[in-house]
Amino acid sequence: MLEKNKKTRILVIAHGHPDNAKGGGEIAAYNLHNRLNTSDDYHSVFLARHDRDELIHPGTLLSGSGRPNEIMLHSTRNDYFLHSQHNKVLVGREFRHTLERVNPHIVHFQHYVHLGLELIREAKAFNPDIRIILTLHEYIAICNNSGQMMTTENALCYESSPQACIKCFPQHSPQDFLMRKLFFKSHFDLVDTFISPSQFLKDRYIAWGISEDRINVIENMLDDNKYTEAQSHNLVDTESDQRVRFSFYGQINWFKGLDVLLNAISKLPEEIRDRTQLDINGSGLDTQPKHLQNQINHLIGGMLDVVNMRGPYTQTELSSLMNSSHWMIVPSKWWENSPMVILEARKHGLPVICSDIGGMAEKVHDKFTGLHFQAGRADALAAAITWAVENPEKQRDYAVAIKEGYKEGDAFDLHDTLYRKLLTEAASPRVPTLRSVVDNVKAENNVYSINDASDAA
Amino acid sequence: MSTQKPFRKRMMSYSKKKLGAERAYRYRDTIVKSLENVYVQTRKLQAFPQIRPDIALQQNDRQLTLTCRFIDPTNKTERIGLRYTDNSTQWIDQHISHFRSSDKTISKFALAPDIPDQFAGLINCEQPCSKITALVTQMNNGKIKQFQFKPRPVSGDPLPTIKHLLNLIPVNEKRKRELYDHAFGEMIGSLWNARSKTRSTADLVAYNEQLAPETPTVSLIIPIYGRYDFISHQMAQFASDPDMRNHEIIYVIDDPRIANDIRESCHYLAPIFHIAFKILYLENNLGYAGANNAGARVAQAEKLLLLNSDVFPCNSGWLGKLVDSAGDALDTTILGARLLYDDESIQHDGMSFNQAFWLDNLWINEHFGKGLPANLFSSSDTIQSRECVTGACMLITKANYDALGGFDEDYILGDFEDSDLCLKARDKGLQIAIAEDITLYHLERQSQSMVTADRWKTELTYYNCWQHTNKWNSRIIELKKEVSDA
Repeated sequence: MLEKNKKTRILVIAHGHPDNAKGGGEIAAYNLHNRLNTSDDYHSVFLARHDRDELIHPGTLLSGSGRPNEIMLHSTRNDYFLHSQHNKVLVGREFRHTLERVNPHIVHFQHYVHLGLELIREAKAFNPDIRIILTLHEYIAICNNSGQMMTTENALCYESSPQACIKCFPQHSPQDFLMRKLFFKSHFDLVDTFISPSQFLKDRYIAWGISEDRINVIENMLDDNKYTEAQSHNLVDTESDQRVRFSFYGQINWFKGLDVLLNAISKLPEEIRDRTQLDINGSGLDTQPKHLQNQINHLIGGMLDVVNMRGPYTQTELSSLMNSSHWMIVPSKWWENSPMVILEARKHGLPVICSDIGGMAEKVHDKFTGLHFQAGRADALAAAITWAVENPEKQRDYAVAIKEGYKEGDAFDLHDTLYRKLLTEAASPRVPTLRSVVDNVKAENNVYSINDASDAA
Repeated sequence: MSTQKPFRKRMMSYSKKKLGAERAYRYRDTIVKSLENVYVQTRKLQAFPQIRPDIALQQNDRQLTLTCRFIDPTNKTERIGLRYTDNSTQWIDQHISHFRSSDKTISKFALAPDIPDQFAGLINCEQPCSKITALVTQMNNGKIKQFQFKPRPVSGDPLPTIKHLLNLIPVNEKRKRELYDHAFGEMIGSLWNARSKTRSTADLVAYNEQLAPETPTVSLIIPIYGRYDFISHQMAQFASDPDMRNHEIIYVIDDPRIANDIRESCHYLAPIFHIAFKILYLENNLGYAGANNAGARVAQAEKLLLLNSDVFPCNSGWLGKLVDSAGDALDTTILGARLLYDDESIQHDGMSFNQAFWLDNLWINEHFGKGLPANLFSSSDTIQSRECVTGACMLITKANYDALGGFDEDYILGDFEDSDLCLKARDKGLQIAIAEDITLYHLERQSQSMVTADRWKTELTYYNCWQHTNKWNSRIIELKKEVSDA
């Protein structure tokens, strides 16, 4: 249908457009789309969900973004338990029209939240030869608490099961959670291959029930061309720098652990504190619960000599912000997956001090490209900061190590290889049966007696 | 009954028999209370059935448009009739349809939610309408109840009455199409056709006449209703396009409310935009079809371009190219163009008929590819066949337009007359096509924004759609077969 017939056509589907939503998943998806279109081998079309009523046209949920190859899809009635699309017209009509028009070889789902898992089924139904890739960004299939793998009381969670999950969600029954899992699996079975941006996330999904060979670890895409300049180091200069500059980037909310960081600064010994500066780049505090706002404002108010609130930043400012900093601190209290800020730090040669859990711990090599501290513990972080201030030469060593380990375009090459592999390998029909799905669930949870199992079957 | 005991005593003796004296005494208060309740309800129900005429209009001497509230909770009515001055009765049950109204004030009567509480119909009277004195109901016990009323003659603008009728129809009526088939279609149609079709009092004013071409290639006909600020936006585009000097531009003002404002603003527009244009002021609001037909009658060129006021060309020279792209084939073609939204996605790339299951299987005009970015669509430089094209931008020879009788003015306000024209053209052997490489922006529906988004508008679309389907159902089925065979 498209003129560029010789190219591989890829439909990249995201749960939001960076025009409207600045989340890491959206940005990574959009970067991938743009990068694909700079290549001679691919023609990528970007389908992004939005919820802005003022953008819709009469009689359709589809609209444009004003740029070529970008499609906006309006969806507001979302089911955040099953992640099912209530509006079946959206699936059978608007999405079908999109598939007919783009006629893709590969549909790359960067997400299914806000969109509905049914889109995966529809893509497969439209043309069974279409290869489907799903990038996993959070732990949503595993955890109903926004896919954070945190309990609703904000404790780290290690494993999910219908029996455990009802502690967080007493309004649901274990049967609800079993059906949720089966619903997810029935759609995930249609996916040809998964991409996980971190090994940690991959391991969680293997434990949940996706076989290991179906998940590829490929890092999120940074935009190598558009905003940020070539990497440059800002090394601690013991002569001219009176203070070591630490910086925080991202949304300000409970999970991101800014309170831990501020507590750590307040615990610093006097002589270290005088040699420390903290720049906070980010926004969102005003939408947080009152007690968190008060706590953070109180902490900042007592440390105005050390702490700079710089507020929100744009992608275009990122390079100059990072280049004026010596260390990045990522004090998240949740697992994270593959935080975009750590990727940016890597690109800019900026050493990172981060929590010792999940995707963060994986992306920062302790004592080589950065430092780990015990997640959620201000004293541990204070110790790490003190060490960093007292050992300025380490910052230089780490920055050099990062620079040596960084290769631009790595993530794209891996995507490219995966696409080629998918298209060349013979179509391997994977016919999921309910029986096999039930067996899997039983095996993992070990909750059914033999009698129950035969009843269920 | 020989001796008439008071109701309460009678009921007590009945309960004693049934329950025994002791229990009847223990529960006497409850028994009496509930039985009294039944008694009161029964007395109330004896007031029914009730009929209250709502709209009662003499369409002509022998035709009556009638809608009534009709409340009959015990379902006692056997038949309904009209009574004339000579006391004769015409039973009208086959003329009327019963339905459950959307009117909350009626629905609050304690009726089951599915019992009809209204009826409506277009009645062919046996005697002149002026001789009607009353509505009568015959009940299943043979009794006749009479409700006095006098029909009014129709007068003036039919739209308020049509609006009222459309608002009566419940949103989620399951038998909607049936209702239209049996009552509403006819009623609305006869009201709309009875409107005054004034044609003589149009007033044509020409501006910048010295710049007008001797023999224009195309006459652009652009109806204006409601918003008119689009005129200056279009003029800005037309004035800087040298090709537009070969054509005649006619704005048809189909909205007497704004005529004075337009006269004033054109006085200032003419010296600013050095391009010839004409304004046709209509005395009455004729609707989209009527306005285009009026414009076509004063057009001087051999070709007509029907254009909406919220359509703006993407490039200069577009109209000349559009004419050239069809070449001689234009004599046997209705030609559209590709229209885009503000976000560079497709608004119109030709239309196809789609049987809408959510709309009682009526045929709707589906805009293929709507909302998808235009760069994903091929754009051939030769004209491409389509099932039908929009009236928002439509090129046709005047000879063809006249031969087809122009737009059908039976469609109320504006909807479906474009696909109707295309179907008429197909019957005459013309082809329908679009020029994919001629693109214009179309701010769809912005030009109607002075019309409030009421429910009756939605219902009116249903009416126009119903009318279109009734007229063309078999032809569309044939067309679909031709398309799938090819």
